[in-house]
Amino acid sequence: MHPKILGKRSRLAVGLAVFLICVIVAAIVAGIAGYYIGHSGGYSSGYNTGYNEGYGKGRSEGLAAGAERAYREGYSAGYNAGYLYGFSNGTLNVAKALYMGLKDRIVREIVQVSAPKLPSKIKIGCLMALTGELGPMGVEIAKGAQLAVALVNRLGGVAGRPVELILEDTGTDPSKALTACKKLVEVDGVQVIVGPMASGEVMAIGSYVNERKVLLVSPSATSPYITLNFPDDYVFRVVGSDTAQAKALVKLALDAGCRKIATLVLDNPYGVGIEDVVSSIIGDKLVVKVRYDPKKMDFRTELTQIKGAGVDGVIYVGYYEDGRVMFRQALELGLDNIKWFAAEGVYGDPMLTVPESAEFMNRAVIGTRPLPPLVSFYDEFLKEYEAAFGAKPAAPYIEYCFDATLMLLEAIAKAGVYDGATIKQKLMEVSSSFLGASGYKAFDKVGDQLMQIYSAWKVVKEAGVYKLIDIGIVTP
Amino acid sequence: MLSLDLPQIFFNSIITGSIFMLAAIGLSLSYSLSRFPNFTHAEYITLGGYLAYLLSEQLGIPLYIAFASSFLGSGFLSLASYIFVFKPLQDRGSPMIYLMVASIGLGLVVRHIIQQVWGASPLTIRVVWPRWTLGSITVTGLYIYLIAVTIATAITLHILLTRTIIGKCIRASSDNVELAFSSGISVSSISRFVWFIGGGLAGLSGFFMVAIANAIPLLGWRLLIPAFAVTILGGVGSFYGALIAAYVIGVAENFSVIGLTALNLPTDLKMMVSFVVIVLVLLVKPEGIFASIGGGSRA
Repeated sequence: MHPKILGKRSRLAVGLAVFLICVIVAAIVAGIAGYYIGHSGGYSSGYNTGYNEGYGKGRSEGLAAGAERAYREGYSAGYNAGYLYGFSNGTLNVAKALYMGLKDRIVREIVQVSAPKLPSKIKIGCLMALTGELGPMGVEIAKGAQLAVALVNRLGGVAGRPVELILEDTGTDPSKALTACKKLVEVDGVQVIVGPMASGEVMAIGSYVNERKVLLVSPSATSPYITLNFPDDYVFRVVGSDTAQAKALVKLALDAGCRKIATLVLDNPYGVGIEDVVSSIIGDKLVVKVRYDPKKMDFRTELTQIKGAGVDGVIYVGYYEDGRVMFRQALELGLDNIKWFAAEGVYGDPMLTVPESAEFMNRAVIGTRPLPPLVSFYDEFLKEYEAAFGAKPAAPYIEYCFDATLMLLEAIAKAGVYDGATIKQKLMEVSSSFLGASGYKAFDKVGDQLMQIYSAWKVVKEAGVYKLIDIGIVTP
Repeated sequence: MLSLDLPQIFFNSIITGSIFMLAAIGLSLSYSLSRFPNFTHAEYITLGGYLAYLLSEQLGIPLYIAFASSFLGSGFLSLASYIFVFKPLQDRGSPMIYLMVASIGLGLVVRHIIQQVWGASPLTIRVVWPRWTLGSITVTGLYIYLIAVTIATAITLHILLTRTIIGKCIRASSDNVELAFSSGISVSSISRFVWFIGGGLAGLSGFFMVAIANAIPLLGWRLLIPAFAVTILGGVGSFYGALIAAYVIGVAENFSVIGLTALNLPTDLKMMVSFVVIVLVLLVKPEGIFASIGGGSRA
């Protein structure tokens, strides 16, 4: 059965067969390996060993180029699936999550349930920054909730009852967010809310929703302060806390051999949250801490201070607008000779539109970001999204908002009553088997994500064009 | 704990001071003739910045032409706001407070028009400047450009104010409007000239701010507070006072960053330096610390 002695067609068939067999074999082997490796926390080393082994095996068996590639892809896909299965088996009811597609799940778990005590209309509150600094992003993220509600209504509603989404604007302003939240709870009488987006807004309304026993699920607030301030309560989020990301950044810096480190962060809960975690982990190795105002747009003296301190690594947290200026000025001041480690706020193509910023990233920056979904549910979500809005998702976190809404609807269907406290208990249960468009969504006991994998990225220059690539997984 | 890179911080201060100077001179000059604090001045800065973006990024025109258009565009906006808004109000005998409020209102209108045209998100000019290292100082072409323009502006204004008829008319009018008017000086045409030059220089400061950082609708408004601090420290209406005060505030702001980082405080507080200067000067010497420098050359 050597491929070389076969005809073109049968070679193709053999290639396909090899591919399929490899996928299956690799999935089984890797699943078992992934289970143990995942539990001992050694995902990264397991991944690398598996990858190398698979690659080496593929090569040494002398398969034709196409089959080799298939083997490699099959191995890594199988490994990923196996890993997730293995890792989560201890905490997640994965078999249940995997047995059905998106629509099947909605029909079985949300529509076709019997819940006679539910009101004739199910209200879902939604707090989004439709205006203000995050306005352009908020309009897009709200579409995630709108799509989820439209999909459920099309398939028959929650236990046969129509769902109504009540969308309120927070104006990217914590105090306006609280006013809007009170309106949703007191005037509209909602018991569950999707949003708000920014950590500062969640901080402002957390105490109020706890007191009223109204369930809040944020799609995108990442500050560790949310866990610290509202540990055991009605505040949930479907994205990982930055505590893990800060650990990942520190790991990258220490692995790169940095011994004197500076932090350079936005002066808001996002930036200072990461700074706090970094500071508590590395202690004396942190020699300078700089918090800056993203609106000030002149950071040369801040950067000069960092340069003067003689550090060998900088942990940086910024957004696009200030990040581009920061990197450009860092290049001007020759700070590309030290290593920079950046959080996900500066991950994205807008950073590469300024040549000096792109060049600086290319020379000096590696970063972390929550790993995007590997799951087929994302494709289903994408199809529905494009059918509904006629375009691809134009902002991050839309699929997170979609998942948050679906999880709440499923929790309501399971609870059978429209009451925050009951829905909260069911939400924990739902999350343990929920595999959505943004991946597994299991909550830990304080309402944070149990799992969030971070990928390390960097900027490369290929044929004169800068682009962002992922270079591996970071396990904090 | 920290070893200071003093030459670089001084250099940074010169950059900051130069921008402050370009932004503040027009404010100071127009006050000396029209006797009210013009808050629309912030928008001359912003417009200059956005014109730089429009020409060099959207139309792909070389930067030196964008430079000229920033000066002219903001100059004409300044001139128009004087002719169509402030002059008619003054002719009707409006007190200073009316003019000030009118300038705030006009500023809002201009800012929102700019925001409607270009949007609220930051815009960037993608020009790569050459870079040199001199000892521990890093210098880019843009900063050389800025410093050269600032020096040229200071020298030109000095010659204009001291060696030309029009300069003498400006100084005479700013010392005593009625006396100048009765001596046959056309105070209104002198005013139009001063408003045009002042607005144009503000436009240049906007041009450099956008080249250094980003264009945002609040660009000028953020520069206005240091500009007022410079004007007050230098003595309202004093050209030479403003010249020195701009660099004093530039140095103070950059050195405050050292103190703030050492104390683990956020560096946004460096903005406070301007406020502290304004309050202290108004308490101790309201006519301005540097107002007496140069004596009769007050302009």
